[in-house]
Amino acid sequence: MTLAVFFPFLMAALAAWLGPRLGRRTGYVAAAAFLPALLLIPDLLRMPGATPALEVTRWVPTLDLDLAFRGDGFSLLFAVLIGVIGTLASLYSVAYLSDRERFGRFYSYLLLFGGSMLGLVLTDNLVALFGFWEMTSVTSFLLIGLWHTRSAARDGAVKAFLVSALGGLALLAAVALIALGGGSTSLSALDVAALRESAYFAPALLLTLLAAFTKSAQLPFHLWLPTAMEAPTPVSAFLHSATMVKAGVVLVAKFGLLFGSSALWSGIIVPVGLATLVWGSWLALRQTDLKALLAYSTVSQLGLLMSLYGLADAEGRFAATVHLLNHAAFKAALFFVVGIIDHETGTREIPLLGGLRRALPVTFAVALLASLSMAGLPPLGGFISKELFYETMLHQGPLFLAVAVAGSALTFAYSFRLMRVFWGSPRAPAGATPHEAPLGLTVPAAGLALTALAFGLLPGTAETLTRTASAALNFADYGGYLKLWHGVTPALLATVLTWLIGAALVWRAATVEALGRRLTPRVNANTVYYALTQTVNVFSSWLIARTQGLPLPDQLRIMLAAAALMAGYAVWRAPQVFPPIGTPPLGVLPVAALLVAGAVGVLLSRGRLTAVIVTGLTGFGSAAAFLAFRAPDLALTQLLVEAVTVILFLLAFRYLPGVRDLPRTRGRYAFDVLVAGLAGVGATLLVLASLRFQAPPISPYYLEYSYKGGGGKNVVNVILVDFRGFDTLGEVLVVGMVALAVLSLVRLGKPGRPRRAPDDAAELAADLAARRRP
Amino acid sequence: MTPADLAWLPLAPILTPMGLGLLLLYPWRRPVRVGLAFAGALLTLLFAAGLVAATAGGTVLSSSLGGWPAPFGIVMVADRLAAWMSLLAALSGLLAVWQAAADPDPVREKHHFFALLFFLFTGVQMSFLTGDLFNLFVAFEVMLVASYALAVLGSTREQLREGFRYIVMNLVASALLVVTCGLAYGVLGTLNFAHLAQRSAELGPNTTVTAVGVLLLVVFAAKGALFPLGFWLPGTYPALPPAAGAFFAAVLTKVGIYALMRVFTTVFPQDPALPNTLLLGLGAVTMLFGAFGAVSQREWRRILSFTVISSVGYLAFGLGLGTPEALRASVAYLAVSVLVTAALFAIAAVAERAAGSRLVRMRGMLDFLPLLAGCFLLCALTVAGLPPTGGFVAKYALVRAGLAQGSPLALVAVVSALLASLVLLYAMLSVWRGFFWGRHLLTFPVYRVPLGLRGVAYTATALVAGLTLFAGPLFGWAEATARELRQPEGYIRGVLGTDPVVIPPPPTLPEEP
Repeated sequence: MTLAVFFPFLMAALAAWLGPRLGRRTGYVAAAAFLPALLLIPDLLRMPGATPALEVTRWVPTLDLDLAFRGDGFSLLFAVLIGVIGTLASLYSVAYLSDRERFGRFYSYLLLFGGSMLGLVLTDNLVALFGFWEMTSVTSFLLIGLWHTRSAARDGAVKAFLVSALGGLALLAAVALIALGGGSTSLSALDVAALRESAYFAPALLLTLLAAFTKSAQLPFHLWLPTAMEAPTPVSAFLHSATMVKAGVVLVAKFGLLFGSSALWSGIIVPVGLATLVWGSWLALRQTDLKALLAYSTVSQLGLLMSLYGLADAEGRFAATVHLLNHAAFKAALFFVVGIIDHETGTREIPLLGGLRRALPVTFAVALLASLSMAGLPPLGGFISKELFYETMLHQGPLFLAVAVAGSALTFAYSFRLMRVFWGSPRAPAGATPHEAPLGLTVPAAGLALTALAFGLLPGTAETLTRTASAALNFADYGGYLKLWHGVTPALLATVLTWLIGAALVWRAATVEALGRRLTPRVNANTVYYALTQTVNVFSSWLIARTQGLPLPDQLRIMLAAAALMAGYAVWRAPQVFPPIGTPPLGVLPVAALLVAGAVGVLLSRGRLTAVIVTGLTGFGSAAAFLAFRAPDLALTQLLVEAVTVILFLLAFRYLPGVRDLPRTRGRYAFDVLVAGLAGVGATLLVLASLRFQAPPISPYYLEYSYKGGGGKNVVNVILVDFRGFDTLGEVLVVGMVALAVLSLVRLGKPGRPRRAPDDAAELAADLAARRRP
Repeated sequence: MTPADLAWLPLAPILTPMGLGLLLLYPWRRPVRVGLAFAGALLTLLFAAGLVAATAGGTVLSSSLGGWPAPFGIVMVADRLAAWMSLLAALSGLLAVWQAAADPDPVREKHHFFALLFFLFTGVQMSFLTGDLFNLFVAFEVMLVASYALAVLGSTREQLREGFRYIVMNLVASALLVVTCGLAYGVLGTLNFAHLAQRSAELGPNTTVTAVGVLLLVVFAAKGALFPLGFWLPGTYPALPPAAGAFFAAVLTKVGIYALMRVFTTVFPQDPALPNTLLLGLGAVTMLFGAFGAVSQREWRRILSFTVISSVGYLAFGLGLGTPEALRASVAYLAVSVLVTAALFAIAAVAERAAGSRLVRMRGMLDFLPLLAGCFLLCALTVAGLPPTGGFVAKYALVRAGLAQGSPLALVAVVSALLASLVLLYAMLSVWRGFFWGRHLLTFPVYRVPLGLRGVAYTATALVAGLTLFAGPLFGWAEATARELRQPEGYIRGVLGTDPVVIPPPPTLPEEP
């Protein structure tokens, strides 16, 4: 299994390299990449009797994140399905793609997806499950955007990625919650009882559902699937109908064993699934583009699968697994058919096409089989799974059955609408002369259509395949079996009713269309999506303009206010101790007055010059304070620094452009006073608190060793050059660098005029013109 | 070798760039200058790797400058975290030197670009390796002045405007730091980290010590550009020359984060409630601010600057959770963030060069630069925390730690982390869509980019990819680091030894006449 997952990744690198060399034949290499997945068939056929194999590759043991793969029946069944469809899609694309395609890119994306998808279904590790889940989103994004020169492709790709990434993040949180609640990241080793008891259960359940609904395009997240149809048709068949979109369904099927006991689980999934079934098929009926029709049809069928697995009982799981197989067969076949029609006529618009059965007889036969299966007509596989679906819904109640019938009747109707292109007078766009497609296109499609037929005529084949998953999905004790004719049952009556309604819908197509036009809601998921992204754009521009775009003084205000709030709260919490200060010597009072006057004066000053001079007051005040506390050397240093600073300021002002008085409105003024006052009070309190050492200071050591060890009698000097000489070295470096910076600023000419460094795009371009490619 | 034999090693990554910087002041010819720079960066990297190897077993290396014993003189200390940061900085430094070497800029180089870059390395290494609070302030000064000089080198209008913003805001933070150093000395009577740790442990939870801690938090949050304190960042980085910009973005904010980690695990771990709450709150807001900021911008390096802010938010979130799991996740995320930022800025340099514009919306470059597109995709997914990248593993670890901690604020922060991921992804997709996808307008020429410059981007991306592959060992290392950080006794013992610190009695002052 490990090989089956990693081989496509290796081959992706090879395909990227071979693409430009082999051209379209790279497709055969791509098909070969799915060989190990197909080699899982013998393992699959041993199910459900055999014990599932477990293969573990250690990755991040500290997080319990291992690449563990567990081959239970359901996982293997799905892996083989991926292998089969992947091989067929690769082969089909060899004939489908145009000569100008970048084959290396296409096939490596496709194989990266294949590997991720195989990993997703086979992994037993929850975190790795999330990993592969998101990797399918990434590769799907690349594949949808393959023809990136079309804006619709770019839009569709981004939309698909964002919607599934939303679900992916929900899955990330869900996985973490499950691992916390269940005590393990291994799906098979989870303590389900503990998870159910834990508080994480309900949030994990809801988040899992969000993930499943986004990935499997359930209402209201179905918006991304139709626009994803911008991808090449083999991709649509592989990713967006048969495999990736079913990841959500697989998640619901597997996690149903964890969450199924909760009424919330089926209480949400079944209504959402049924609503998606009806609404999706209603929208499908209204499409004129064949691929869009199939996209909505996929949405609706996914709803059906979701509602069946969501029931979380044996009957539902059995029915869903049967339908999963049927759907994969007929839907991929139909996508291939649409690809052929597009390939041969150059359009996918139903009104432009007609009578194609003469020109494309084989394609017509394939399409007929596949769409009969989709419509649920005997003797095809779709009929059998439809009966099972009705049977299951009947057990839930008549309302459920009624909704199921409505959805199926619409399905019946759009299946016929799809077939309209083959009947009537031959019509095709001017210039196109459709003739039968090459074997490379028809054979994969025919293979799938015949499988759909086999599932109906020989129900035993579908039954055997489905039963392989019985142990994994816990429906081994389900007694039902597949058969074309069960006798006259309520389900059969419902089927007949479905045909009647469906036929009526086909017969009164014009009325239905008129009704559809009137029922079009003004707000749909797409408009919500675009409104949301637009809101994010507008909001972020607004936010950045209001913060990053502010002038420096306002930013400083925000910064200082935030700092004052945080630090102020911390200081306020600390015990307010006021150690006895005693009577201060009288000489200190004028000094204090000078300091305070300087601080208040800066706040009040309205001109740059005044501000600088008033700041000087504080400096000289501190010098006086040093003097008062018997530190004449410090006082001298301070005086020097103050004097030099003021002179430098004045010199600098000489070169600065003139500004008017500092622009301060009344609000800002009050704000400044408040912040400054807060900072002052906080600093005072903290200094008072710190006056009382909580532990003895280390300073006596310096007094002791200043002369003994440092050879100097001035302790301050010895600290500066010896005890803490490294600090001084750093500061010397700082001063040196300031000198360098000033020098280069001066020498690089008039500040403000761009010299060597380009200032904006145009200059950069001009600057680079010299290095231009010949 | 015993720790005593290796006591010189923590000094080596500091003195090497300092010496080389001084050497580079001489006007060498360019090949000599570039050769010296490479040699210096490689040597620093070698020493940093040596530190990592030496501390891997849990040894704490300590070198006392001037031979003065620990709490009295200054010490340089390397434990796992410091060595790890030193290695990351040295690695980003080497990439920056390579990028500068591949992109000649005669005017800036004439004005000592390389010397200033090496002084910047000195300051950064010093901040990671110092074991003294005041020396940390000095290291910040060295870093700040070197970075300011680099930021204004060239004297364009944008550089001067943003440089002014940069230096004013950082000086405010520095002023607060020096005040806090004084207060810390006032409260605990010492400045040595290990000694501070020892004394705060003896005191137990103490609100005055916490208040000092919160002041430090404010300073480091400003250095790390957490939301309402980091307005200096997004304008400064795009104005820098590309090589310096890459180093700034990759490492400078992480210095603030490193200091936060050091202070709130090793030094003041006793009363974590208030600092953790603040960090969680700031982190939650910062992630979103950075993500929305990235959406709002239209130029390569402006977008990337905001993603740097966002990553700082994630780190603060991890620190603020305060659990061992979260600390481990943060340590791992640090490595991811440093390397991916370096890689993205290198990619941006190539992209700007090739398209001849700083703007992102150049369209259709996928066909001209397929390999660069691959690199960008990998790094963008790392930033958004999506698989198969190391960013996904780290982000999962953070989210899981947040959910496990489970306090209401932690849950809010988790929601904000997930939301920010989505918004970041949107921003990255817009870049991809605007630059790589679409039909290229033939009126814009595509320029040839020198292989050396492209090589930086490829190498850095390869390192990012390596983190994915070796996520197991990375998390193993992060686990060991986090364990060490939660037991400061080892650090204290490594610096102060086992004997109690003896302070001589205060000498009796002579009577005043």
